[in-house]
Amino acid sequence: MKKLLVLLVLILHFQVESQALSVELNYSFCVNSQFDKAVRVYNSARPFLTSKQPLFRNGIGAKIGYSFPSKKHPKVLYGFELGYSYFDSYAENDGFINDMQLHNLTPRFFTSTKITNRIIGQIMLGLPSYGVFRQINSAAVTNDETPIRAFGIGLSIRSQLSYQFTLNERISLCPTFGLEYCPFQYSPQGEALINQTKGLYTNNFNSFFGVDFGLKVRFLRERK
Amino acid sequence: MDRSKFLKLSSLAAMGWIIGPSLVACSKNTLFDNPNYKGKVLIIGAGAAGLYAGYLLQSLGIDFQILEARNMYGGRMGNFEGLADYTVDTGAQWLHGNNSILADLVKKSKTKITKDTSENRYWFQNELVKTLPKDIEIFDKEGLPDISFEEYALQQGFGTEYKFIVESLAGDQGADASQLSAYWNHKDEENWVAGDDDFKFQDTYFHFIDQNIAQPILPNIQLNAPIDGIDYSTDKLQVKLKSGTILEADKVIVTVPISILKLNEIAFTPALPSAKTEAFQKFGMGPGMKVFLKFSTKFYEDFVLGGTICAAYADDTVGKTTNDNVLLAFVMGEQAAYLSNLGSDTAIIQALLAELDVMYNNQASANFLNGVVFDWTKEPYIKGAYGFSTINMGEARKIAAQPIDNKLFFAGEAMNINGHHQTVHGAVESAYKAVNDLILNLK
Repeated sequence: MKKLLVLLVLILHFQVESQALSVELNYSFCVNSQFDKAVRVYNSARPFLTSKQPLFRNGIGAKIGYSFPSKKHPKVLYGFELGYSYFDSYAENDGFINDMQLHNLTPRFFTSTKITNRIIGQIMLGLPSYGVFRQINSAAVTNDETPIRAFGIGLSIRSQLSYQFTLNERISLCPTFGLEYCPFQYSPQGEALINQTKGLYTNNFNSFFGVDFGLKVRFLRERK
Repeated sequence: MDRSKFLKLSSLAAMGWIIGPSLVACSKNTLFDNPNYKGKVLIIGAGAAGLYAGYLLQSLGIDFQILEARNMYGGRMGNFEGLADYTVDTGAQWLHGNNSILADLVKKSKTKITKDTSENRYWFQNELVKTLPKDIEIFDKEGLPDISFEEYALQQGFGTEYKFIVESLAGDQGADASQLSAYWNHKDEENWVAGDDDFKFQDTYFHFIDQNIAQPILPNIQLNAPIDGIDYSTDKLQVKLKSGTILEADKVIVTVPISILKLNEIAFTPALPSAKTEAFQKFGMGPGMKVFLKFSTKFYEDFVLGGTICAAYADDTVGKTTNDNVLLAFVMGEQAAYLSNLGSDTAIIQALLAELDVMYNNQASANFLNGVVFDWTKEPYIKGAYGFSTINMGEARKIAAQPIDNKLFFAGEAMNINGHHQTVHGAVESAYKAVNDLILNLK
C-alpha cells in the first residue's frame, strides 16, 4: 500500500500536463461461462438441494484510475486503472450452508476521448485475474487438508461511457456504463471447487462478459 | 411513421429479440429445468448409479423404470443384521472424501458419519510393525511406467518381502498387483478431488442410499428382472427380460457392473461397436470378498496390511455404536479367488483365523465367536469387486462411457471418467453424466 501511494505521488509530480485521478464504485453484472456451468451442474446434480445455488451474477466493485492527456492530441487521454469486483453465491438447505465467493482483480490500460463536451468514451485492455473460494458450513472446502481454491487469468477488452458533471474546476462526477468481454479465461480448478469434480464436463478455457454501472469521482490536477 | 423512426424501432425490437432470450437463459441456475420430455427411460441395474439416475429423472419429471436382476436393490452395497449388535455393510462402507454429491447429501440429511483415523500396521517378515523399512508410497507420482504394481515395486527395489504389502495397495483398487497398471491407475487418480479422508457411516452406506435415494423412487424399481438383451436398432428400444417379457423405451441407461459387460451377458442388437467392446475388455475386475469375524475381545489393531491370506484387516466397529468386537477381512484379487475356492464359509473363516493366530499368538481362535462371508464374486449379476485399470488401458474408460446413438447410455463406478471410479460417489457422478448427456441431446 505504501509503495502504491509513493508511486501515485511520483506520477502526479512528474506528469507535466493535466492529469486526473479517479475513484469509482460500481454495480457489476457478470456472465462467466465456466463458473456458470459449474454452478448449474452443481444444482442439476443435486436435486436434494431445494434452495438452488445462485449464479455469480450480481456484484459490487471499485476502481481507481489515473489518466493523463496525449501531448499531440490533448482531447485524448491515456491511463490505467485497477478494478476489483466481488460476487457471492450463497445457499442454505436445512443447515447445509454453501457459500462461494468470486473475486476479480483487473489491471487495465485505457485510452479515452471526449465524444461530446460531457460524454467520455474509453477503450481498455485488461488482464483479469480471478479467485474463487468456497466454504461449507463456514469451513473451507479442502482436498488432502489443503483448501481448494480456483484461480484464473484472462485477457479482456472493455469499453466504457461516462457522463461528466463538473462540480468545480478540479472535481467532476461521472456516472459510468461499461461493457467488458474476456474471450480467453484459464481457470483449471473452477469445476473442482464448485462441483467437486474434475474433468467431468468443463473446459479449462472459457470466456466471460460483464456489464457495470458506476459512479466515478474524477480529481483533476492542472499543470503548475 | 417515417423511415428513420421505423428503422430505430426495428433495431430495438431486433436487439430485444436477440438479447432477451439470452438474458432469460443465462439467469437459469440449472442445466435442464423442465425438459418436458415425454419419452420413457429404462435403467438397467439398481446399484448406486442406477438408483441415482432414477432419482435425477424423477426430479425432472421424466418417466423411468429401473430393472434389477437381483431380488434386492443397492448393487454392491448391502446390510446384514445378526452378526453383531449393529448392522454391517456387506459391500461399500467407506465414504471416500468429503467433497462429492454424496458428501453434500450426507451434510444436508445430517447423516452421522465418523472420520476413520485408523492407523496402519504392517505384517512384515512375520511381525507386526508400525513402519516399513522402506516407504512403499511409490505409486502416487508422475511418470510411472505402464507396468504392473508388482513389476514396478520390484524395479524400485521392493523385493518379495514386500509382496503382500504391494498386494494390499493393489487390493485397495480391487486388483491383483500383477494386473493393476501403475501408470493408468495414477492417471485415473489425477482428477481425484473428493478429499483424502475416509468416513464411516454410523448406520450403513446402504441405509444412507436407501433412505435418501432409493425410497423416493421405490415404485419405479422392478426386482428379479434380469435381462437377456437390448435391441436399439429402431427408434423404440426393446429390452428383453429373461422371463421373455419385452419392454419398450426411448432411452436406456445401462448401469450393470463392468464384469457383466466384459462377459457379454447382455446381447446388444446391433452389436456394440468393436471399440466399445474392446474398451470393456481392457478393464480389470477381480474377485472380491468381505469376511466379518466376531471376537470376544479386541486383540487386534485397527488396520493391518500385508497378510498372506488377506492383505487388509480392519476393525469394523470404527464409527459404530457397539459393544461387540468385529474384524473385517477385506480380501481382493488372488487372495479372494483362493479363499473362494476353499469351497465353504467355514473353510474361509478357518483360513483367516489361522493367519490371525500367527499374527496374534493364537488369540484369534481362542476369542472367535462367529463369522460371516460375503463373496461378491459368486453373486451372479455382479461377479467381482470393482473395475480397475490394467496395462495398456489407454482411453478405454472414456470410450466405454460414451453414449451410443443418443439412445444407449452407460453409467456405473467403472464408467466414471473424472477420477472417482471404484467408489459409490463415483457411480453417482457417472449417473449424473449419463442423465446429463441424455437430457442435453433430446431432440
